Amino acid sequence: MSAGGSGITASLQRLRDGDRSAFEDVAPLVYDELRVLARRQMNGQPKGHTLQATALVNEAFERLLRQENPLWNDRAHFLSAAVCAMRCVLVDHARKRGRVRRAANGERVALDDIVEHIEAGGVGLVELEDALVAMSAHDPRMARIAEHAVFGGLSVAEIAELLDLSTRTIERELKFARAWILTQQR
Amino acid sequence: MKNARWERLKELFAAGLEVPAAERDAWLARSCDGDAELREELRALLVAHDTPSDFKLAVDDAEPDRVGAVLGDFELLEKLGQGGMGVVYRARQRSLGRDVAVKVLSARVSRNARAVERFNDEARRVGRVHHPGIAALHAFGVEGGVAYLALELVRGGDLHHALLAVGARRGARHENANTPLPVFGSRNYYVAIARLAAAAARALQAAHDAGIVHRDVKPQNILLTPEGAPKLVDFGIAHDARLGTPQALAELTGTPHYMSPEQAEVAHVAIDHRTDIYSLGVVLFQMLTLDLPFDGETSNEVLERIRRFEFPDPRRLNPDAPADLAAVCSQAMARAPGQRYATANAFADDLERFVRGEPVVAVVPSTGQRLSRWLRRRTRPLGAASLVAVLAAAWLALDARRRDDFDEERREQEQRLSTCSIALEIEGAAPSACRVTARRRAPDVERGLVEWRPFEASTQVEGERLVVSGLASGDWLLHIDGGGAGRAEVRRFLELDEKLVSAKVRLHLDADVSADMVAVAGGEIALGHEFLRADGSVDPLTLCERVEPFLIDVEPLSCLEYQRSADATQRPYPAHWCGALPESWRERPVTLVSYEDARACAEWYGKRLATRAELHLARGLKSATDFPLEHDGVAVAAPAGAFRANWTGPAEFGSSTEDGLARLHGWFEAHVPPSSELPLGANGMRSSFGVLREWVEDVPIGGSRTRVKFEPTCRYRLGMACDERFAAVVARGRGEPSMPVVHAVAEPLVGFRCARTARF
Repeated sequence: MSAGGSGITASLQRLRDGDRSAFEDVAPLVYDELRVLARRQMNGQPKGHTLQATALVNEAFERLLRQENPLWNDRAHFLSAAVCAMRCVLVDHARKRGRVRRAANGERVALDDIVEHIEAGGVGLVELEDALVAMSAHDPRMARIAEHAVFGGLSVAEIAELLDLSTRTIERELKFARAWILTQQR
Repeated sequence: MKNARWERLKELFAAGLEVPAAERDAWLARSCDGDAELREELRALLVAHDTPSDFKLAVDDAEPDRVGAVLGDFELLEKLGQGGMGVVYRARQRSLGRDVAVKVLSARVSRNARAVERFNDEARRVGRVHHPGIAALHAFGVEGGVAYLALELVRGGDLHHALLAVGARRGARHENANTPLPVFGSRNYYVAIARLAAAAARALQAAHDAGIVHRDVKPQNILLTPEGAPKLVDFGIAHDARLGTPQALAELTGTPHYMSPEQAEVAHVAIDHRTDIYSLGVVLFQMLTLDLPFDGETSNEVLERIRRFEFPDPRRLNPDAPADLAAVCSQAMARAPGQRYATANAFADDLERFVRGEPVVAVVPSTGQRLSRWLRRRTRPLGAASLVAVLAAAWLALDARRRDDFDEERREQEQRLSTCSIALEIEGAAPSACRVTARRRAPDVERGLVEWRPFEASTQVEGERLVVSGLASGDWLLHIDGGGAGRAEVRRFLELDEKLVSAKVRLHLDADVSADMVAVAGGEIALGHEFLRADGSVDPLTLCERVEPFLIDVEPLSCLEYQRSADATQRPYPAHWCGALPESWRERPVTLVSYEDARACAEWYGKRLATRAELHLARGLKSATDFPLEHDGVAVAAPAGAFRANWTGPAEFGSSTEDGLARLHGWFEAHVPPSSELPLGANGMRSSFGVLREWVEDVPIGGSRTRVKFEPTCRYRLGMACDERFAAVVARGRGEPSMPVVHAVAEPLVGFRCARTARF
């Protein structure tokens, strides 16, 4: 995850300074970072799911590029935005799917497996989203940490590096977040 | 106030985790200062934390190198290898001062409850069996959330690698001291493999006596001591009733080649210890011939062959193989479990007879039996041949013990699997007046090339239709030549079980279609694929596709053109037309069509959808692996079989169907200009990049280096429908003019353009 890190930070800096041509350098890097994130999302899954990961990347990428004024100061900021975009795509998809299901339409489209992968733990993605929104009212930082873990597929050490916190803090926050989300499910 | 309460809750929670469960009630009463609500909330959180659940927030770090770590009694010394379930280390058992192998379940896998259970299962099962041919289990434990197995350390590698080494030095003069097996083909070699197989069979018997069926006997799971004695490992999937389909099993174990016919059956029949006898028979076959009895392009194909065909006589692949050993192999691999050795011990007994130079019990098939087997295999082509000719051919086939003969048999099997047909309804000429040529898309990893190989298909007029039959599963391109009436093309992906596919085509003369098309020279173009390595990481393997010269539409298909074909073929209009094509949209590209509708429309025009390689070549590109063109959206088919671009209907885009339709209507008006206003690019082609995506006629290729597979449930939609910024990037980076497109909604904006092979 660290390779190319300085590259993207430098390009984002240029973009922030008003150098529109920097966007040209950023877009491929954005795309690559997203691919890494999406693949990690699908890790531990049987093979043959990479195409779904590609679908997730495509949608998240478009969502990122549609942002009016991206505030990406550095790679960490950017990755957070990417995690957030993937969260939006997946939650949108899960909601849509719920609606379609209610309409007794059994169609299955890309991203279903990724959603199911996240839901394999027994908490529905929509419920998880609701809990995260409720959590951020109490504790925005904790919600952010949980978001990175769930939607970025990031490890404790990576979240710690990204948010500039200690791994102990991340572990402590995630323990509480997990228990809290579970108590919200009843 | 609320925040202070939250912080207090977090603090107490962290403290509560340190309190032993037995003392927790007292601690809760003490710590919450009589705040009953806080106490109950805290209690619920602690209970939730302690309750085992699959719900986890973070994965642990990427598999850490645990060399130096201590798990219980074991100090990890050196990484030996990585399997699907975890990492194997050489470790020192401190209390006994001996070296062992420790298999550590990877953290990622440990998130998966089923995998942990399998791991547990393996421990329990293997722990019950003590046999020199089974790697002994020393301990099972969990340390700091890490589950591990301590097994007997086997230092000679595995049979899979030993066989690779045997193959590599086949024909070499000198023995290589590093491998436990003698030179292939020598008398010593056959004695050694018979001993090895016998020892493995004895070990299986011990497992069977304990009520355990291994179910995954293969060379990778037979470890070797430096002396060459086998040790079975990986009883992980023994008796896992939830493994459902053979495909799931094949996916899990990584190879279908060693599965028994009853394991390969779709509807699971009872599996007993005789499946292991069969699989060990396959291992023996492989040792005898250095080849597999059944192989195929996809695991599905391998399974189909196992289900349907007799395996070849090992002596046809290796004429020097001892007849007795071949007979033993044949008996172990009998299709019907009842025809195999009744027990693994009986299998071992026969192998040991061979080692001692005694006659084996297994019956060496007589010439008559082999003849009749051969005749059974080729039922079809013999209808008209005379008996004498048949017998002569059979005799020759049996006599010619050469590899070509075996390859011939594989081709023959291929033909017998080639039971798919495409029925063509041709408009413009009588079916009998048309000539059909077929080509099949063939990826070749060794040469890094995807080619279209010509194929002799048989055609037959059936009423108004021309039926092309004898097609195997795969990606097909049919070219229909009606002489003076023109020509047409049809591309179809045929699944193994898809017996008859129909297609409607209209013949067109080149002169009629070429006005709105540009001619592009063929060539080779690198395509990005999704290849994976055994450990699940991405393999940066690139295949080039070889493309014939072709014609491609200058513009994406317009609404008016689509309307004509939809009327003629009675296909639905795009949803946002609301039943009628608005006058001002006639020249704009059609969007919101499914892949199937797009394809039917193209075929009505005597063309086909452009391919990914063609579209990239036409844009003047040498490679389709670089950003941003790698950015090809992938659509996954709905169960109904339709490829729609990740959207389920207009209701998705608004609060109701009407609202959604109105929005779609608005987006289309605002962002999709008439085709003639699209920017001109290479080859005089108008680019839709930044406005809409285009369906292409491609089934993605994936899999791995050793087993390339098609992903028939997916189709690409190429390009991008996106915002101004992105279009600007593309403009600068790729020399395409910028498109003033703002905030288009990408997903539903999918159109297409057609192509046609220039000459066939």
